[in-house]
Amino acid sequence: MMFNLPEKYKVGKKVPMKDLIPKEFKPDIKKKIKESVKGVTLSYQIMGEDIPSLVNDEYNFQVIQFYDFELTDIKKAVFIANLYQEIIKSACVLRLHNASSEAYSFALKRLNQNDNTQIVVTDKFVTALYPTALPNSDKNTLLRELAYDNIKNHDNKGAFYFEIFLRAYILTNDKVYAGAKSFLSKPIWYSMNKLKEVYPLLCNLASNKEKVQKAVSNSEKMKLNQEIRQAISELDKI
Amino acid sequence: MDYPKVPQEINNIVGDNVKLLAQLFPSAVKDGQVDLEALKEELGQFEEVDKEKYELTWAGKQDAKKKAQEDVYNRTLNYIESDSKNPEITENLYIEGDNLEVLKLLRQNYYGAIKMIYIDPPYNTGNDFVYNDNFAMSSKESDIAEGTRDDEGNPLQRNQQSSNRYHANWLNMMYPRLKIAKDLLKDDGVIFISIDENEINALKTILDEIFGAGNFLTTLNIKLRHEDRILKGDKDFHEVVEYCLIYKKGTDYTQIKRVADNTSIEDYIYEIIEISEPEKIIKLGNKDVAVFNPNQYLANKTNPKETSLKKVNIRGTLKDGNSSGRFYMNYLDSITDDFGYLYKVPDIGDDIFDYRYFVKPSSEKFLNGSYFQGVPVNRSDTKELPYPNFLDMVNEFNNVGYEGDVVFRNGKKPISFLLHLMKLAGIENEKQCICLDFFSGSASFGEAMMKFNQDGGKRKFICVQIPENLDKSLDLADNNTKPSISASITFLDSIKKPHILTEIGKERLRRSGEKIKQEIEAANAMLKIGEEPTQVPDIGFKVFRTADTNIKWNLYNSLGQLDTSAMTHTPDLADFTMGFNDIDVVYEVMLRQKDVPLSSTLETLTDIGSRTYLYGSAYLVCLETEITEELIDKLATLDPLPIKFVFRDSAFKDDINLKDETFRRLKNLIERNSGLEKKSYTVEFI
Repeated sequence: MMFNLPEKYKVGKKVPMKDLIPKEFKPDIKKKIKESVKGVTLSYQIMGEDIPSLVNDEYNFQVIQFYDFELTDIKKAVFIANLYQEIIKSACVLRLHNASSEAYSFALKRLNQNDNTQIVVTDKFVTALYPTALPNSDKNTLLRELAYDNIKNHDNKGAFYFEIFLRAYILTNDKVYAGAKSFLSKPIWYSMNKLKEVYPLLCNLASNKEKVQKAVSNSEKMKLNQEIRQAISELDKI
Repeated sequence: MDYPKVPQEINNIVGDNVKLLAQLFPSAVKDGQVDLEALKEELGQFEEVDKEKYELTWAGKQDAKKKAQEDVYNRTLNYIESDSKNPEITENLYIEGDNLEVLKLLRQNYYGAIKMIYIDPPYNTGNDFVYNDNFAMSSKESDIAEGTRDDEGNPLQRNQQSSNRYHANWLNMMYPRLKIAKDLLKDDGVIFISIDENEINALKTILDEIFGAGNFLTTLNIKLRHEDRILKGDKDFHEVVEYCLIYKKGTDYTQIKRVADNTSIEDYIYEIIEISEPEKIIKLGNKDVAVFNPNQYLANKTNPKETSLKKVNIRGTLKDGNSSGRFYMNYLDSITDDFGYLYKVPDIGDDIFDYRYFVKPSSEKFLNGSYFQGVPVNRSDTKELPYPNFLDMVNEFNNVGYEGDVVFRNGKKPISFLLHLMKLAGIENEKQCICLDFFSGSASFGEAMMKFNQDGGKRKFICVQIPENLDKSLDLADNNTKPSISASITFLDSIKKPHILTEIGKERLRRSGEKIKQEIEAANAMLKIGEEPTQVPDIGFKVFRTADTNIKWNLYNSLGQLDTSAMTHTPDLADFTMGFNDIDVVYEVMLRQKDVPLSSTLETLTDIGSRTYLYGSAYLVCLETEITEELIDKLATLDPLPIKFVFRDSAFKDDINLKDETFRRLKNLIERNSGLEKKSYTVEFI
């Protein structure tokens, strides 16, 4: 069961392959999807107004969907996740797995300001690979943290999804900042403003740490380290 | 007026002969040296021409080239906190020392990093002090011993016009400095050098050689004196201008244009009146062109207005520079016997008219035709023009004495002049760049940079100046310069500072920085609602001074063995020179790091150890005498991870196993903490 979601949100509907592959896709992409994906199930869908929808000029959170992608090759997980987060217009969590491993994909989406029937994916990531069947503490932590009952902010579906997204992001990037995991138990989750403060700082930190690895000149590395330090001190204060 | 001194020597037979030879064959004596090849040529004995090439050469040029390449051993920059202002936050530097040595010391840190260099070197007027450069391989003491500095270690020497190597001495000073200056410039960087007519030719020739003649941008001609205000009537000519040579480093330089008003219509003062029908219609270039003879039209002058025409003479580049010029040259220029004829050509030009008038010369005495154009339809209100290479700065130079609030009368440059150069360097759009003046005198350049940064910029300056002993200079000065040096000394007495030129530069920066701050704060206090307050720019500076090394670079004794006993019992004596301090050691290490600016923050990581320092959040310099497991554990938790760890070799007491074990531990811990498998840091030892 995905994240202990209530039974009322259960769908369990298989998505036919023909619905899965848009006609306008190039033949090589179609071929790659057919080779990689064995089957897709829409397992859960949070809808109704128990958690209010968020619909305005910028966002359309009427449903949050949970899909289950069975893959032939888990190495294709990131490719498939990134592709389908762009195709599926509603907020969704994708579980991608084969017999031995699984990973989860999350994405933040907003409406295209020129055409509000289209979405723009602003941020996305895929978790590390966890064993499908064997017990694993990292996977247990993820499932526990993202469990329906553990999500604090039920103000609306947008806030609810952002909390899931950020909790998963923290667990996936816990090495980026020594105090990252401490946020999971801090009283920040009811305040959207706090979350919007934490997330960009963590992103910035992760991207700067990646850039340091690639930077060539010492002055560049030094400048990045100074920015990292700045972000850390701001996170320490939250 | 020069007062030649009684020569010390009684006989100078060689010198006299050379003078006689020079009278007969001036080309055979160059700067006091006999050019035997030139003498042979004068006597008709020409050598093979395989060595001929276009270059300026002088006695000592090879040495000057070598000097630029020699490393600077056993010297460093010590940080002088007491003289610095706002050292915790500033990124500006004021460095006291011989500029060649300083340029070499900075070369690693600032290679290809400087956007703009401005220098105002001695002009070699016959009384200037030029630098004695025999310091590079040894410390000051040994220079004194070798007699290359005077007994007080003063590296300056006076270059008098009467000396044999008058030009050569100056060129020997300039050449290596300019050569390293080029290394420091960014690929889109620019260098500005003030000079007067004494050495402009020689300077331009060596700049052509160092920077490449193709990188010469212009010579600014700066009028700094009034034609009629002259004190010395005995001169042949009154020098009212001096110059500033400008070179770019390379092709990445972007040409800077000034924006001029383009709204004026004062040139649009013609109207054409067709008195009668044209004489004929002819086909030219697929157009039906109406031809009016001189009696069939009038070209009247009128008041400037939007609907009038401007007369444009078709000459020079205009002949093929636009469609009108090309039409005239292709179709009308070759028609003869049509003096004063008017041609009305349809569908040409970008004005409100759907035709354009061309007029042929009125007689064969005139060569060029003209056309009449209306105000262009899509004309912008501004146009870009190149900057002129002439500046009239007579008033600014007259008032320069009052600038900076310090007494320094010896060739101060006006702030407005330096601000203009900064504009020419294109730093208006580069708000984070580093600019350098290595003959900084009274530090006008630093003040100008603070002023330039009032636009919200964070440009940083580096001012370099030799700590010239003014008492010594006063003794050696001629009667013309004595009063100005005395005035500076009196000023330094009044502020209780030693008689050193750099004290004037530092005081100027302190005072002008405060003044800028007060002016901005006063203006901010008067702001109306909705107006943005101006940020006070970086008005601080860190002071560094050249000094002998703090580090004993070679730990091996004369037998080639490590003195492990000293390492254990007196580690500081084994590693460092007498009187060292940790901060200077850290900076000395930093001088060896490529492209790391010296202006970054240096902090002591007291929770790790009292002698563990972090420079610029990236370089960890651990001067602890003992490396414990606990210390390594703490180092491994540093976030962000330093890019380099520097330890003392002596802390490991020559124990290779201890070293191995320590760095394995560090590596493992870092991997665990950061999740990084690729090693992203390096370790070095002193």
